[in-house]
Amino acid sequence: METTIRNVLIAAYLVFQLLLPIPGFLQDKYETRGNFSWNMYAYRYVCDYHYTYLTPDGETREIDPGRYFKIPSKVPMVLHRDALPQLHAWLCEETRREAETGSLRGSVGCVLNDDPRVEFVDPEADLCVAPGYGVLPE
Amino acid sequence: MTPPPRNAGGSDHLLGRVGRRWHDFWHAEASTLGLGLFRIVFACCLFWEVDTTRAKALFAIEGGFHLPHLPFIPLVSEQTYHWMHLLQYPFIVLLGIGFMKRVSCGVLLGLQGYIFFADQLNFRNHPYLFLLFLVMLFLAPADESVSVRSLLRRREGQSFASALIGPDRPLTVQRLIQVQVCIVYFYAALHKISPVYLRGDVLEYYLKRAIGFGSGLKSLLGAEMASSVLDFLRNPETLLVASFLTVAVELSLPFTLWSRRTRPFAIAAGISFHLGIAFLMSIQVFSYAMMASYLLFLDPRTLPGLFRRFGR
Repeated sequence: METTIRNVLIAAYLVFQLLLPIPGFLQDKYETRGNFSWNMYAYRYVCDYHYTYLTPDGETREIDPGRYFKIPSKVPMVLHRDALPQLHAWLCEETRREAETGSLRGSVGCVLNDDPRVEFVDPEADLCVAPGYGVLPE
Repeated sequence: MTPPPRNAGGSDHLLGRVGRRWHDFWHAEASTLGLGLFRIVFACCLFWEVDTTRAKALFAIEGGFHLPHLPFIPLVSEQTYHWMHLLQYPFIVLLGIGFMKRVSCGVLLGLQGYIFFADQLNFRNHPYLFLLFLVMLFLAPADESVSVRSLLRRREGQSFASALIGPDRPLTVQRLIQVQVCIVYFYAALHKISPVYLRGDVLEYYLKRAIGFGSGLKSLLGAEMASSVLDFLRNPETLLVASFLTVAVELSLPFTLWSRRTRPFAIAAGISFHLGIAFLMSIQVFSYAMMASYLLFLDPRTLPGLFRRFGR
């Protein structure tokens, strides 16, 4: 009986550890970062990003998202479609707290390996009111 | 533990053979000396890693932008975060010396797991692997050899070497660590099978970005020699060959480490590979932990034999 329980637990662990990396391996790398898939140093993922805050009187102010990160160099970790809406929601909340009215604009583009550059954000949209916080669908 | 019985006629059905193989593989009893030595090196790696994690897992601290795995995990204050790291040291030492192993593994799992799962931005592959190793060491009889516990249990008349080697125990959890190591290599290789990687472009990109690229090499070989080696490594042909070798090593290790015939070559290739990334890309702690895991792939009689020979 004890051996059977052990065998079931071993099999469950193996199945879990073999299946867990598969989504991160198969999913679109622009979509998600692929954590838990052992994707160590396997891709070249280069992004650029630029956010501005447009006040009602037409004045623009640069916003550096790194300012809100404990480690600014980790901003590229959220530059995937699954995490960007959360970053935009956060930026909207912060900018609203600092200045009551205005709109948040952004441009984010990433290049995976040799692929052409992919735009993630509608540059014309106010990220705080646009559907999905302005993140373009796949 | 009893193996599954043969049927009355003595004929081996496929299922029975598979069942016996499974049983022999997972439940065989043998020396846990390899596991004990792995525990010591792994504890050294954990000790070394605490400071790095303290600098890189700041998203467990409240304030600023967060991307939580689970929204109900509360973030901690800076002071608590500091203490959560400091508190790990005594328990890592206890794990290393093999005393109160379950308690130390449990506390380390709690502290490191909390910090790791507090935010997705704290994700790094090797702390995740270390958490899995901690779970397994918690369950394994890893403190029955080369440990304070094994010396405290030394019987009258028993030699020091024999006490250090400890008793035979089921290899179940050791096998799980071995399989886990193979899963890491296998998926790491699968991710790298792409034209861009095999052309050497990705390796070049990471080598350029690596903090302290070549600094380990400089301290090892001296500035002049290291400079020629680095020039050689930056060469596109070298990068192409290195990329192919990386994939070949990572893809072959999950298979070649298991066979007695191929194991020496696999271990030599694995050690060269990890020393390469340790010195060139400054990925040290992960490299040493992976190299330590090769101890688990050795025939369970090899290390006790060596211990007895030199312990006489």
